[in-house]
Amino acid sequence: MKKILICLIIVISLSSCNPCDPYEIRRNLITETNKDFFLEQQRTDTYINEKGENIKIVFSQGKTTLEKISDDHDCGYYTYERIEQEFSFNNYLGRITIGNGAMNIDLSDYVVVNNNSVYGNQISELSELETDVNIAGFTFTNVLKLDQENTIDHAIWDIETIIYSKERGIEFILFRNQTWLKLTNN
Amino acid sequence: MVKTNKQLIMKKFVLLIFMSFFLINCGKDPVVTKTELSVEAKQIIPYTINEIINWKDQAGTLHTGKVSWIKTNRYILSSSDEIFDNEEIETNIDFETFRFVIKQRSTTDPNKVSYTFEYVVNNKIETVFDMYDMPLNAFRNIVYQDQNYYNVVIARSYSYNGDAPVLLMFSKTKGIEYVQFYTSKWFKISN
Repeated sequence: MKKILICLIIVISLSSCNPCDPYEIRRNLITETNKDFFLEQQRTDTYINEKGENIKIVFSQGKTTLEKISDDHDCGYYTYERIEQEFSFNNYLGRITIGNGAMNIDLSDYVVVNNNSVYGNQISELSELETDVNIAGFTFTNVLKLDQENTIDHAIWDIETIIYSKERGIEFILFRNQTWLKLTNN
Repeated sequence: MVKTNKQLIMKKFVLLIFMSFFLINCGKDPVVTKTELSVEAKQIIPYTINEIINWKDQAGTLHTGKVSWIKTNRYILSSSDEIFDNEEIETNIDFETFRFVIKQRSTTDPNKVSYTFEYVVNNKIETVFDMYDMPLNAFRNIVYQDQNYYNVVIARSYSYNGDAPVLLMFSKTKGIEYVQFYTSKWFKISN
């Protein structure tokens, strides 16, 4: 009986044995100026489509989390700050993610998978990517233009462009068939 | 052989550990949630038993299959405190060198269903496509590679195996309408 207990203790000790102490290699936080683009509050925004119909988009409360990613060959790990917010309309489920100098919007239903994003080489501030856009007869100033990235073989997508502003979030969605959704002022 | 006091204490100690495990794991009875497929959901099974299915591939070769069974099962998902007892309708289409199995399952929301599509070769499941909690009104028309497809949903598998299907188009009225493989290989329903 004593031997069994000793064996148990050895097995537990060995399985919980840590060969080295974990340490943080680098911490990648999102700057406050990039966080300014994050409209994290839960809300329902009203959009109008090309037929004049109202469409509601429901945004859930956004989340900011710290994620640890281990280095494969060492006890070190990287810490990444992650900002994301989910939203939905009709059968679409979407997610907005913000990084330093990059924004990504995934939007899919049970048919298509869209991946619209904006980023720049050597650019770490989203404000540097703001531009004026003329699209489908509308003009937007100081906005981010997120283009479709999911154009690999066999990809099935239906959103060409999403326009996003720091003040109001998703301003405009242009679908591939040239239909659209535009944020109203309500 | 007479047991010493030490041995007896040790025995009681081990017994206590086992009893603790037993008591921890035998708390409350799990809550059972039983769900059934709605009439509307069952109408999205466009196959009949012994039906002949014709598909063509990218080389123009015709593949003839047969709906060899359609059966109703219970699909049980359980955790320590909850059991989901869902209705499942399983349809099997046999082709000469492969088969597809379509499983439609009820969910806690009568307006949603879950699907599993299995691509089976030599009785081995090569690829599984899952679609969870899909609204019954998710079927819609799309244009894919300049072809119109009506009332479909699309399941995706992120396999990078050279001969694995990656995309499966399921029509509300025709069943599996198109299967695209990772390579240029595909199957398409042939009327």
